[in-house]
Amino acid sequence: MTDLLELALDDLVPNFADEQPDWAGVVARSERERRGSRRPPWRRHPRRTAALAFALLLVALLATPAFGVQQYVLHLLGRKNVSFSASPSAPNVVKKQFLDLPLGAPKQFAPNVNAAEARVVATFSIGGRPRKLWVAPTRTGGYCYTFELSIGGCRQARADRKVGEKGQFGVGWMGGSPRRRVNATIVTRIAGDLTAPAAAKITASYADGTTADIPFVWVSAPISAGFFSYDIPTSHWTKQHRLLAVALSAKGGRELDRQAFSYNPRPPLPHNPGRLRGVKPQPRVLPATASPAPSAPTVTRTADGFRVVVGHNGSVQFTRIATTPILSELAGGNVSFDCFRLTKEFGIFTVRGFGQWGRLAARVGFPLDGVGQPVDGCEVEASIGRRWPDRLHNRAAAEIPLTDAGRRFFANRATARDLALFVRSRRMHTLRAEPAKEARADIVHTYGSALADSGIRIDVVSTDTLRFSERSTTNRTYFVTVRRGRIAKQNLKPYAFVF
Amino acid sequence: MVVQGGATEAAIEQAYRLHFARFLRFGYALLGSSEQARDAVQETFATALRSRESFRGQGSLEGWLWTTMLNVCRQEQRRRRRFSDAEPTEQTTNGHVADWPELRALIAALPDQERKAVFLRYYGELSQDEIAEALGVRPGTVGAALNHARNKLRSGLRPEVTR
Repeated sequence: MTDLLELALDDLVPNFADEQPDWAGVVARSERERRGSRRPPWRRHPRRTAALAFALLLVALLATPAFGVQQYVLHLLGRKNVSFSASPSAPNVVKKQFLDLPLGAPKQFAPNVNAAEARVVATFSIGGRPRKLWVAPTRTGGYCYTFELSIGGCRQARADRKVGEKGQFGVGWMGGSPRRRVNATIVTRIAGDLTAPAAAKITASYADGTTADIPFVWVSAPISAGFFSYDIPTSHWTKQHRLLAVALSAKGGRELDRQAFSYNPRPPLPHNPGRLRGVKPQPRVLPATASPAPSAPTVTRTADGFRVVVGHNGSVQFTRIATTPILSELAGGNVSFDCFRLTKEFGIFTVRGFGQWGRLAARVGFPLDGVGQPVDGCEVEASIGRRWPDRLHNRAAAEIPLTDAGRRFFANRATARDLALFVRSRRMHTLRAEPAKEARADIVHTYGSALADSGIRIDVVSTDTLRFSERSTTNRTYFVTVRRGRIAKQNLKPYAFVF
Repeated sequence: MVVQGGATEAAIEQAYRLHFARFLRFGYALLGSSEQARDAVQETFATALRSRESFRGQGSLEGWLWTTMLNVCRQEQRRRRRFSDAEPTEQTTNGHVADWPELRALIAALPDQERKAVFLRYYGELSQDEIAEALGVRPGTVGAALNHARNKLRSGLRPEVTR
């Protein structure tokens, strides 16, 4: 195959270098399936099995989440009550997702979610696969929820629940797709939440006159809300059988709320082919001043031609005070103005940043929604291609550290980027695939003085393994280990990516 | 690796440990998700372990394992078509899902057999003979399929595309 084709194909699929084989898992699965493939017990002892099934059904009906069976019960019952306090804690990565929800949201819309309290409350079948439902309370009496790899939402405050008899009944839906050969207007999945404590049943009504019960979980205080996700059976993916409405009802059949799907055809878009002809997209003009303006006490720093003022209220003001060669080069073009805070949340190192993309201007200001304090650094980053050795020394167009941590971050990122750019370059992809000794010699020969002038070190670890490393000015060493041409190990994340 | 009269557990384990990443990459290429790829590899070797007596040693153990892997992936694809849910696209190692869009489209447009041959060649790192064994076709057919596929895929990689 051509080199480029090989590179491209390699690029499409992860190398799974960090993936560990699990032979014990294979053996266990093999044993499990071997046992399962014997003559089923219900055929050997039908009466005993029927009695056992009945007993299991009773257990299921009486089960609490502590028994860990709620995911099966979902298929049997309309409403299943789940205790929030007895549910297991959500994994850290999920808690962090909840924590990141306010990022970029104006203060009045920030959900104030208590991410540390996120819990796994149920497992639903979504797209034929078991998917978890995670919920977390907010500090203002509301909640946020996420179905694993699916939809989610928040009712930020107590008032958003509209607690009354009807409460809220939010129904999200997903339509068909050409891939599945289903019209986009046909509902193939619904999911959502409800807040009426009296809710006992959700019923789907179809165009062919049939109905179906939709299971849901009711999660106890402080969530006090119900959640559902339901795959519409494929038999209802046609016009004659499609979903028409979803109704929420209380005990005794009293209807609390209803969401209908009208399937009214959308009016065609006005035909105006000349409208966009010859119109060039204009660079986005960013606000010159922050609203609200940075409040006292402020932090002010100057570097690379910019002065940055960050206020106690989280607003930032960038002001250009000098010109540099790269800023002159970027005049009239698009850049990104960003600020960030470095945190370790739930054990995960995070660069919590927020920025605005638009035309390079002398004054730009905006609120850093969701970033929090203290802000460790700000930068003006240009969308320019980079090749090793990078003419900007792997730096942004302007880097303005506000704290020591920010200064270290910029230094470490520059080193990590340098190493990544070197190792992932197209030519290197070919060279690094050679046997380690030859590869090292060829790399040194190819890059000559540029490599000698850089801080990159190349070690032959074994006949097929090379280790590239570089030390940053903060004394941190970054490395990439390449085995048989592929990345076997690296520590460049989250500063840079390598492949 | 050739084992006569049934494969031993040790031989299957050795193949598993040795070629784990290759099977995973192939599974990912066919199924499009690391989770499903991992599951397919585990299922492949569990199946192999369960039915190791049926391996008669007429071909290589590796070839037999690849055939099993192909069957497992085929079942998974069939099952997925039944449930027909679009799984979210995963990011590749370099973090860019949008990489090589033309190539992705061309791979998707390849006939099933050609696509499998390319994946086995590239991600499974199999020789032409091994691919022929896994797919149950003649080596010459594999050669022609690979050649045809490569030409098509090359056309999607413009020379000016740089990384």
